[in-house]
Amino acid sequence: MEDTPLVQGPPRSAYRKVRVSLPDALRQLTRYSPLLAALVRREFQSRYKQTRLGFLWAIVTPIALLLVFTLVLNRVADLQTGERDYAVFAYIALLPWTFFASALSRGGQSLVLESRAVARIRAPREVFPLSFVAVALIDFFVAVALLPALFIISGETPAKTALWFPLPLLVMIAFATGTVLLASSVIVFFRDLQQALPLLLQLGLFATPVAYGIDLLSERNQVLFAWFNPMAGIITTLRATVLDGQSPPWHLLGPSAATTTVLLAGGYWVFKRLEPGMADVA
Amino acid sequence: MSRNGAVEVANLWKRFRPDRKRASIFYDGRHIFRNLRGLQWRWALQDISFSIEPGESVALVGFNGSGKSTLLKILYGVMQPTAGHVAVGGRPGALIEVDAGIHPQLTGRENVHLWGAMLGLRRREVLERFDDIVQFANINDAIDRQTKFYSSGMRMRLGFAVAATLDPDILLVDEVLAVGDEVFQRRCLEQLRQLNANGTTIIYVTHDLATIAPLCDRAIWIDNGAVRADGPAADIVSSYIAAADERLNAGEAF
Repeated sequence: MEDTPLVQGPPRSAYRKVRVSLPDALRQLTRYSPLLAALVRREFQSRYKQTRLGFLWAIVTPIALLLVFTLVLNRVADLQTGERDYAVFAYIALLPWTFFASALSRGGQSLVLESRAVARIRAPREVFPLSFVAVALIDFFVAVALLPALFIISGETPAKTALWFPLPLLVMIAFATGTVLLASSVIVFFRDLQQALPLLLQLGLFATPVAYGIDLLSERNQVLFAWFNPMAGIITTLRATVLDGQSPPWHLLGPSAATTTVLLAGGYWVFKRLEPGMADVA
Repeated sequence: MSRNGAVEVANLWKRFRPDRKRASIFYDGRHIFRNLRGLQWRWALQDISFSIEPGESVALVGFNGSGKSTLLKILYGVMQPTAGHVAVGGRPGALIEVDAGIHPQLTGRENVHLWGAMLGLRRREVLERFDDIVQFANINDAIDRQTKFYSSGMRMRLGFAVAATLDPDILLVDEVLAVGDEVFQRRCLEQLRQLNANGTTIIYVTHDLATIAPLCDRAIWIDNGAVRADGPAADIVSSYIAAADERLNAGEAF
């Protein structure tokens, strides 16, 4: 754009306002579900091209983290986990955390990395961040496949109450989706967040009961913890049901689900509110 | 709702954010909280109005930075106007930076599916058109090669071929022909002419003025974000050329 002379612009009343309707947004999104599938397929088609290990990379990360946790934290820091084998105790939390961290770190940047496409296609832009939530979910299930091996090695057995698992998983997916929608749209306009994201994720790992158990806290603080960090409720529920044979700790899963619902609806609203301006700055 | 293929634009305005002035990448503290108030917005489009009938073929001409591409993006619906009314009837298609969705790590085949999905096609619809696309892009033996090993012309042809098989009611064309070779350019122009003959409305942005006459009856001259002239293509193009001569003679810097 060359130097433009001073322009007054249209009358104030003529300025367009952005109206957000989540039902309409969801209808649009459903129409573009083939694109969502194509983006997920693209990720897996392109990710391991020109690598030697190929698909094995999907399980390298969780195994490496697990080794660090069991060797360093358990042996050196001597964390108390009660009767439970530490490797299983840590791995059951690493699974959802790795899912969340990878969805957020890749999905959060997706609109910035795809800026050329964002400014040139008519599809609802949330397909880009959502595709990375789906990719992280597939990686999650690949990593879950290691769980039986871990049970055999450690001599632990999963409890019957493990069948509650879809419930915390649902909250986990919703929480990641809401966070990724919020972060990805805000990053387009406020790129400082893109720089801060890796740091926030590292801090988040310590602010989440992954290496330690939530029972380090008093009952009252546990509930507060779950309100502010839904992952705490999700992970504690997984441990209680899969390892300890208890029914879900509703007093923790409830607050997690409540915060997640607000975050998901709010995150999607913010995304759609910011979407019309994305092509201007992408 | 407007008729398929019709375009209605009334009092259209578009502004972009002001430039923030910053001496270096290091902050002196004051920049962090300074907002945009008091800075001058850049008005890329100023009170644009015109209407296009179904089946018309219209060229948009204008100097660099006059707002042509912004206008096309708003017509296509990927960019929102700041103020004003836009109605585009029927399904719009766009040949705007057609390689934008081409992913370098993927093969040509994988890219055809991806780009098709980005344009709103289902996988089955892409498969139905697949052979036509490969044939039109003329990259038969390279279709299973990663596109980062393509030449820029091949990437462009692949993107064009996918977008051109969409059969839209309105086709928006922005400078895409510049990269292809002579053979491909002529094939594209022929394709555009045929689409127009079958009733597709065409809005064509180009700096290659010689290609306007065979394709377009009407031209709109956008100057500094406003409509400067609108009329028969031949008249508009000649007064546009006259203005360019004038600029050069005046020694105006660009």
